[in-house]
Amino acid sequence: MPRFRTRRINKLLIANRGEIALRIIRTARALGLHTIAVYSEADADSPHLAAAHEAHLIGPAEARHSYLNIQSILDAARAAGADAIHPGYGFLSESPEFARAVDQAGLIFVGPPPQVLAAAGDKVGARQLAQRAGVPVVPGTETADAATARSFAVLTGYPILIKAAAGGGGRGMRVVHDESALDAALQAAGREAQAAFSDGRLFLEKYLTAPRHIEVQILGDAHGRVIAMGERECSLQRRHQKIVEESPAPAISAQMRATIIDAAATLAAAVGYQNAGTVEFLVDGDNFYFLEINARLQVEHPVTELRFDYDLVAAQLAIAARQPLIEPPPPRGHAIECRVYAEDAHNDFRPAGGSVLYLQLPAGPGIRVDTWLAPAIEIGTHYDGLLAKVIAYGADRDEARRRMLAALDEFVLTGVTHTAAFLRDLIASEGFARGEFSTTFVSEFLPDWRPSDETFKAAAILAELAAQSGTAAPARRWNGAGAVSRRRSPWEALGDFSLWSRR
Amino acid sequence: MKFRELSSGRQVEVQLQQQGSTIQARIGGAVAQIGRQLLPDGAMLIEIGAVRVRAFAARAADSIVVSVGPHSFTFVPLKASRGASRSGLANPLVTAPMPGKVLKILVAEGDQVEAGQPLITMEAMKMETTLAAEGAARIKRIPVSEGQMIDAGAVLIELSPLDSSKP
Repeated sequence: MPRFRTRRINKLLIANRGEIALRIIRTARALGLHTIAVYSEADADSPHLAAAHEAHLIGPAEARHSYLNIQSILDAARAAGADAIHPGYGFLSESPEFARAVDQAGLIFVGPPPQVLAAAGDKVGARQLAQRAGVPVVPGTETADAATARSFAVLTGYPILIKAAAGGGGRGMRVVHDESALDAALQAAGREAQAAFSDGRLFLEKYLTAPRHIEVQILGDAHGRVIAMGERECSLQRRHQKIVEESPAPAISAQMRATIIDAAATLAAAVGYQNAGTVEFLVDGDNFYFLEINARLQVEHPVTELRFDYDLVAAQLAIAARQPLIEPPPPRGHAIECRVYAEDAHNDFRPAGGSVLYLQLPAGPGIRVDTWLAPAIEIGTHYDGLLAKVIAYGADRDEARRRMLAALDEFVLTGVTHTAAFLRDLIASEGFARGEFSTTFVSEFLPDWRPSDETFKAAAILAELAAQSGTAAPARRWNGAGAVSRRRSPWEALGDFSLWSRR
Repeated sequence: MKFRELSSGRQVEVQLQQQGSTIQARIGGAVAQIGRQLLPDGAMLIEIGAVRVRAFAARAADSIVVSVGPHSFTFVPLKASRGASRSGLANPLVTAPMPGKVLKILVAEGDQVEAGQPLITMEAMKMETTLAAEGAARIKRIPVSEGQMIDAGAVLIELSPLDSSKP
């Protein structure tokens, strides 16, 4: 067995918040590491602070002054004596500048090296790389000014898709169906890209109207070994952001699966990929196209973890310490993830906020819940609205699906408008059960979606009960720290339902 | 009491009557029965029709938030004597659904707007959200300006019915 020069990680700073900060802290603690949380002023009561061994304030609510503030995070790392930083997903996770700064501060960045981040983050460059590696790409351009856009549209026909060159997570992305909407869409996408990535550059792709979105988990170590760990089907999206993911992908041929997984491994090797990442593809009939490399741990990584019985965060830490990759066991069964967001499904998934006044999370065989929800916390709208990921594992797809339905029925959260009920009904739909759906499925399903009449009636009756209960208190009352113990049940003042039980 | 559910826009009138261990409710002319049992954690077990589900409700400043299983609702009491019915509009105020920034105001005071017409664009969480008119109306007042930071619930636009502002 060859010996490698490894590096030791003892104190890990997690440069993130929400469920992913908690997720990473859990693995780090299990490995016996000292964990360091960072937080913005908006997150002072956030559960990830208490979960870590220590917590450091890194700035005000606005992300660019806190979770995107490289200097502030490095200062916290120095103050805490951290020897490694895990960036999570989003925020600085794919920033080559951050990875380089961490490196220059003499710390270990738990992620790909800066040059790999730069290669993957340059969406246009990544397209070229894929082409050189012989992996098909969606027809597109490398810039997107109004003139280029017009001539590209003439060539391929509408609809076309505007994307941010530095993009990810659907931000800065716009579908344009005809020329009249082009200028406004370019401007809005540019503004959004500038705000989200400090980089307003755009490019164009032909918009495939009903593709499937399938991605492959990759892992590479510091010794040149790269593996692909199965695919994830991520076609159920709203606003180009995934809300349901599963593995294996239903309804693709064994040959297509093998081809895509091979292409991902080829690309990963071509960029000298290190650490955990994802190669995304669009599948359209018998064709598949490379979309992008996400050089980070994905939100939906638990789907792969459950199917392979493999801790990807532990693998990331081992790889960052220059240990050789540990081969995952062969995959088995089926896993599905549903993302519950603080959003209003009835109104274009508009972001929502509030306080957690009541919470019951699902549990049971094959159920995993990655969440930062806790009683009485405030859900603000400063950051991404992901509240919880409910992940169901089953021996086959049908078992996973049934477990997911039962789990979402158990999900009760009052005080914040959220998407659990929508997801439940989406999973219960015939289209999902058949496994035959594309990226348009959510928008087709949504317009007819509404709670059953009985559910609505029950809710209205409860509203009336609460209105009569006389426990009216300003919302603020429930927001304070330690409010849980002081909080009274809204039914309490009904006093044994005195209103009704006058006998 | 009469409520408007914020997400769906559905309006509903509820009257309750105690009938032994169950509650009989009159909802929009129909009668529904629910059984309820208070649980130790403050939630309620509700039985309605074939459904038996954990539920919770709480009063916030000007609304009532309700969960029935995974469903979440926000009910706003409608008072017959207040603005709503007098102005003839379901909702004479366009309010911010979340804290954020006013990005663009797409209408001017005095404008006549149609149902579905975009009124104002907000930015929150680096995403743009455009609020549209729920019905035909006239723009009475716009108390915010572009670039302004606003709290959830802040009044963005005041509407008046079309005929009332005609000469």
